[in-house]
Amino acid sequence: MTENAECRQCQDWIDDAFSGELAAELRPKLQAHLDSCPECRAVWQDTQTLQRGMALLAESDGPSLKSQTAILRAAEARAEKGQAKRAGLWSWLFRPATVAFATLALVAGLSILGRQELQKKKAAEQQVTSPVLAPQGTTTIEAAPMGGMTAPATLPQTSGNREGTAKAKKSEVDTKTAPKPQQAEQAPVKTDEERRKIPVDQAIEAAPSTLGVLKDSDTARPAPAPMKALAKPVPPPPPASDPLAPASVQAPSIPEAEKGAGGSPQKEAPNLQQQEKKQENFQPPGGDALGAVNSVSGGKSLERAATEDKAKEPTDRFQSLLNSAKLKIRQQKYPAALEDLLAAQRIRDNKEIQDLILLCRSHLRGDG
Amino acid sequence: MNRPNPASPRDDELIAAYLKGQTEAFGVLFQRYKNGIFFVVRNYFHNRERAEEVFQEVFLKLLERLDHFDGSGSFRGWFFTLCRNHCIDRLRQQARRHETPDSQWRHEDDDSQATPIARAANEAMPADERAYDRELAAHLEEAIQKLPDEQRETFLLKERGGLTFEEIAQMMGVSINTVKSRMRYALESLRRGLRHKPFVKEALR
Repeated sequence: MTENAECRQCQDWIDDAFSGELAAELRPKLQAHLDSCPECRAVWQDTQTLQRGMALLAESDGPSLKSQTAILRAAEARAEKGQAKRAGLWSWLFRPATVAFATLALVAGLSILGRQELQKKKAAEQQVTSPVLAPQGTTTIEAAPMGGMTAPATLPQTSGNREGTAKAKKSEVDTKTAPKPQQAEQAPVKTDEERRKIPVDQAIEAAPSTLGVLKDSDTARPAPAPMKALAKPVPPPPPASDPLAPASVQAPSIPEAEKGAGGSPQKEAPNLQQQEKKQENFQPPGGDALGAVNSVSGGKSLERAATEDKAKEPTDRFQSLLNSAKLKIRQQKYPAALEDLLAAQRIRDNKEIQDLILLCRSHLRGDG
Repeated sequence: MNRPNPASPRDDELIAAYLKGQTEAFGVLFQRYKNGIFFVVRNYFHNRERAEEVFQEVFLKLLERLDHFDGSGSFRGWFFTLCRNHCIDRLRQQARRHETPDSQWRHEDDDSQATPIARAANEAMPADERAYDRELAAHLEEAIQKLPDEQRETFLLKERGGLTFEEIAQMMGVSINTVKSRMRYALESLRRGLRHKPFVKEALR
């Protein structure tokens, strides 16, 4: 091979090396030629510069974070949609609204059935107790479907002829518990006192027979379940103190209002800490007399200040974690950034945190 | 282009996992292709905002059509074809609407165009090295821009997209030899373009 032909061959190998397609066995040959030929070595160096330039372009001209998160969000949404589609009927069946409706229907059904059973029982009991109250000359046959088992068809006047108050009371209770208005209508004539009572009793009994369904279903209705599912937007209040929050994060936990009021954060922070300490002294955990006095007098404002301050702590901790995570993302320290983000998410979850977590995870799992 | 690590899951495995509901699988796929796709899109749309828009559209289209990928060919080839076709469609629409052509790519302000990550990494470098890199990147952009369309597209698909010559040939409807020669011409032009720049000579000293 002439020198020119060798150089042409070498430049092909250089191009292949740039494209990542140079066979391993050709590398020593390429190296040997580069060692002996300054012209090809210059081409090789130019190619390396080109490679470096391409890497720089890739670094400096990637898609924006906004685009990346938008795409990853869309991918998540699509995955969720796909899952819902696959789940098909099952997902429909287990939707909160469907579950709530089914539960409601079941409870209402059971309540009606139960009521019917109860009515039957009461009707039977009514048959047993009514003869005692039946006026003279009247029959209880109509009101006694279980004829053979009831008392004699005609009963003597029972006014003032009761067998003691206990029995009378029992009848009263019986009539009260009799559920059906029709049974009350069919109930035999009672004593004067009972006559006066009957309408009221009947009214009481009659009312639940209709209202009872509602009442039962009202009490048994599992309304909170669907409501909870739908009423998602109410976030849980931030925890009063975050176990992850180090004590050193106290300083930035100055309420925004105070910051805005012109007080310097450095000066205000110790005051609040002092207030907290005072509060601790005033109000022992058990809550004794001093604590009570405290809550009524000036201690109240201290307590409020301390509570507000504690409530602000997670917010500041959250913000500092978020800022730290953003910095780490810029420095491409994704594992450390992810840790901060997860800690921040424990304090408060929002779209920004989710996006950043998604970004870090995709960086960590991806090849890049 | 980030070439997949042999130990990492294959594209078709990631797609299958994603279609079964594993969102993270798509994240891996996205990291694998985002830069290559973005570069190809930037080849067509020099205006960064427009390029970002089309970049998102390409991935949304991918999400829509992922079900249609039958796994018979390479996913990379299929995806870059989808990307290329989408870019061409958008350019045609733009031409029909008589919109102003995209501005020259990335020359307004390098810093404002770079990603925050790249900016942060840039800030950590010594000033002279940074200046050299900026200059190198700018000259290379210019040199790429000056390439004939076929050569530029071939070069970007190969270098940024990581496609094989065969995949590029299929996508562009030409023979492999044509693709290879376009690539060689492109490399020669770029090398020549960089060789005559003073900063390169200085760096090689």
